[in-house]
Amino acid sequence: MCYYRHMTPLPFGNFPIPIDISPLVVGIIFVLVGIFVAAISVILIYHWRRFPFEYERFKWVERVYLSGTGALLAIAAASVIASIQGY
Amino acid sequence: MYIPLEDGEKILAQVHRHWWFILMRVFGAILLALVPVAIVVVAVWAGVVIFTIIGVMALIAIIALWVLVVWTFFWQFWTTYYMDIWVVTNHRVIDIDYHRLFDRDIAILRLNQVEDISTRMQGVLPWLLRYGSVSIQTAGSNREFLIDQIANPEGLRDIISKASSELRSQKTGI
Repeated sequence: MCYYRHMTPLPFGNFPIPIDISPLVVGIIFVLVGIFVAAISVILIYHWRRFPFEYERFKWVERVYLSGTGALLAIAAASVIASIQGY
Repeated sequence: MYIPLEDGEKILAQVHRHWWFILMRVFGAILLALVPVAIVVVAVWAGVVIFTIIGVMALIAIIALWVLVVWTFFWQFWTTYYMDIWVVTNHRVIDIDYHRLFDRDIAILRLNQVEDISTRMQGVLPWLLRYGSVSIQTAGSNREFLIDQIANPEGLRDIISKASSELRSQKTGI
């Protein structure tokens, strides 16, 4: 087993445990979550647009939902790209 | 529109379940979104784990994706909450009951069938937040039409009662 310089040998293990998440794994998770979110978004917007009451409110809801989803996807995408580029 | 209004029909009230029920979902979603962040922060602070710079970026991406999944599920809950609606018109009471996405019941009660309307607020929380149920007994059937977990049930009872009386007086010409 390889020991890192900053590791402290303890009776019950060596801490801290170095976590090195592969950018490839993160990229795959990003794609899978992206597909899931896209599918759910289509279903939700389909339901909202078909609802016969309070149409103006649903237009506002759609904007909030898409803004939030877009912002979170942008943060995730930027972080994935940064991890691939080695930052 | 899957419920076309009849000639001369006007919407008098649209009622959703009380906001308390979606507020609980909001708290649940916030808690669920923050749990992995809290676990990572505590683990790093306690010196149990350490992240490389690449690991930090990947971690931010994973947390953002987790929050995105929670966000999506929250809107799914919100949709089933908000689309659970009772619409009172001057002719009918329409109950659109969304159990989940792609699972919907629609029940219609004509106001001329209304025999008796009662309201109920049971428990400390319903009394504090002023929510409860309205039950409508119908003529010619033992079935009870229940409007549950709504804000200001007495107000809705008065609207239904008044609309029902007006409809009857129009029909009898009194």
